Amino acid sequence: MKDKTDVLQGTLALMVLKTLDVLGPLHGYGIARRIEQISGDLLSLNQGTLYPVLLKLEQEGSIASAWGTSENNRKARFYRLTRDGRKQLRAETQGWEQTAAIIGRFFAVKAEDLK
Amino acid sequence: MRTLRRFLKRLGSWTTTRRDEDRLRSEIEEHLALQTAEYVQAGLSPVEARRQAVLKFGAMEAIKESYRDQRGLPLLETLIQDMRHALRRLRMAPAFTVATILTLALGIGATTSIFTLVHAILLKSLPVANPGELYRLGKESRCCYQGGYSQAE
Repeated sequence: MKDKTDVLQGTLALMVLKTLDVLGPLHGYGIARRIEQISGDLLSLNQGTLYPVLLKLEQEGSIASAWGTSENNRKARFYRLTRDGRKQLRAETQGWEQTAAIIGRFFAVKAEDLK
Repeated sequence: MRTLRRFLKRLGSWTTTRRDEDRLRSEIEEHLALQTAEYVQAGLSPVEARRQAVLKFGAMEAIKESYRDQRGLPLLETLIQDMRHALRRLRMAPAFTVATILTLALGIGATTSIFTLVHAILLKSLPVANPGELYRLGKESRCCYQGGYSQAE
């Protein structure tokens, strides 16, 4: 079995924002499950580490939370993206794509290209 | 801007500590319940399902700790705690406290008054327009008026 990669520092917040953007309001467990599913279960996520990240994002105003009822009729905290969060997501997506593109070029380069 | 907002939230967090703690606990409880239910559906026994859910959640106490660290401003909070502890201890030893306060008061008072004197006599510039242009004539102390200085013409 292929080893699972750890979540890169700082990318978890971005994953949370994107998940909420795509799926709308979700509780913590929902977010954790989606992140695992989307990553094709290749990511080893200690689900608990999600909560400090959620708190940070909420303090920054990127997401908001409210009590709601989960699918099994329990009280659960639901998180949703705010307008600021959407803006942040756009900015970070752009930054991330840029970084990925730059690294991609380094992988693609061959010795003869540089002569 | 985001950093500032976060700082303010954290600054105000001590008012909601109790509620935040409850919230974290019920969020974790809910999380574990959902994960357990999913494992049970997958065919595990309830006890084993619960165990796996807790394992998957990760180091519970460490996570709670980092959650708390992010909620408030630990630096400020420990500072306040230490101050309160110090004050409590001082109140328990009044003789020591009085001695310390007196020592400090006398020390600071004496130093301040001596410095005031030195400052007035030695350090303050002379009451003339250009103190740098003053010249001393002769070397006998009776040469001049007013403590050995006279105004250059």
